This record gives sequence, C-alpha cells and structure tokens, in this order.
Amino acid sequence: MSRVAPFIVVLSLASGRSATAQTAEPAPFDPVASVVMHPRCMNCHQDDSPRQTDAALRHQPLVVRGKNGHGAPTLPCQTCHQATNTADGFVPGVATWHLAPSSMKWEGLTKRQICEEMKDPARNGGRRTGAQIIEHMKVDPLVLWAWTPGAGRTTPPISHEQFVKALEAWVSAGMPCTETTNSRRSLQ
Amino acid sequence: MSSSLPDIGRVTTSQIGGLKIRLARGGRSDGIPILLTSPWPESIYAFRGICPRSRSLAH
Repeated sequence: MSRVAPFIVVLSLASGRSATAQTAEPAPFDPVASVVMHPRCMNCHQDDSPRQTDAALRHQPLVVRGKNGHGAPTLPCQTCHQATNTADGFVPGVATWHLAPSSMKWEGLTKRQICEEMKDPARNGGRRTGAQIIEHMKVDPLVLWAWTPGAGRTTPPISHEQFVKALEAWVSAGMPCTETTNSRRSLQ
Repeated sequence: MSSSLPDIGRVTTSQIGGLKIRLARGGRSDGIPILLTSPWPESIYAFRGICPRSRSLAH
C-alpha cells in the first residue's frame, strides 16, 4: 500500500492543475445576472404585460402596463396585489406592486445587454452611480420580495446577502459587462 | 378609445378583513341595497352597463 501512495499523490496534483487550467472564472456580472434574469425579476421587467410562473406565462387575468406601470385605470395592480402576499401567498404583494418602467425592460435581452442597461441612467431608473444601483437592490421592497415570493415560487439561486455582495464586487470592478473569463492566464 | 372611464359610481378602496378592497358606490342611500360582487377576473368596470340601471331601482 505504501508503494502506491506516492503515485496517487502525483496523479492528484497533475489532475488538479489540469482542472484549474480549464476552469473558467465567472465574470463579475454573472452572479448578478443569475438573480436579475430569474423569473421573479424578469416577470415584471416586461413590455406591456407582466408574466407569471417560471414559464413566464402571460398574467392571468390579462392586465396591461397602463400609463405608469401600475395597470389600466379600470384594473390597477393594487386591485388584487396588497401590501403583502395574500391568499396563502398565491396573490403576491408589496405596497408598491407594479411593472418596472418600460425603459427598464429586460425581457428578450442578453445578459450583456441587461448589464449595459443596468449601468445606463436612462434605462436604470436614473441611478447614476454604482452605489445607487446597490442601494436600490438592497432596500426596494419589490427587489426583496423575490426572496419571499410565497406559494412555493422559486427564488433566485443566491441569497439576497450574496446578491448584494456580488453587486458590490461588480461595482468595485468597474461594472464590466464582459462575458465569462478564462483563468488560464493566471497559470502562465 | 375614450380616455374617460364609464360612470359606475364613486370608486374607492376600503379596508375590509385586513385587505384593501376596491369598490364602487352609487345610487341613493335610502334605496334598496344591491351588492354586485367581484367580477374577477375582470375590472369592476365590467358592471358599467348594470350600474346605471340599478340606480333606477334605488327609489
């Protein structure tokens, strides 16, 4: 047994180095994208009508954006959506329930396009600094709702705390929108 | 499409059973009470054809 052990160690080191060489480092925006592209966020960053479920089905009953994202005058969002989730969570709610502004539509955009949009004050709700973007993501009740959606709805793949840390890392890196980088260079 | 909404009475919200309920009131206060329950999944404006007629009963 003792004769075999050194051989195994050498193999392990070799395979470890090989794995590292082929591992792609996630771009700073990747963990942010894992949240903002999740259905709990995407379903309301839409054009004319919000979506429901992880399959992005058109909202039932049919509702429309209206002038300000709060629905048509005949059927505003708050007709059904209360200050909290109701009906055992089946009707989701926060006090300001509404669609994201049209300028902040994410539906149909790529990860990189969403990243670019999030940096653009004309398309991110007028937020001019990374700190303002982080603050929005930290405290906006609609953002926070994504982690307490009720009725067994799925939540983003990372916690809100991890999301904020990922945002801070992205902002610290200069808010890059580059695709996944490869770590091979670090071995050279 | 007209931008003005049909007259279905005074549209307001009321806190009922912990929920904020949107409702419309109309007609005479001393008339026969008529309660039209939610037309879900439609707007309360789905009653726009009924409301004016029901007012005529309220005397």
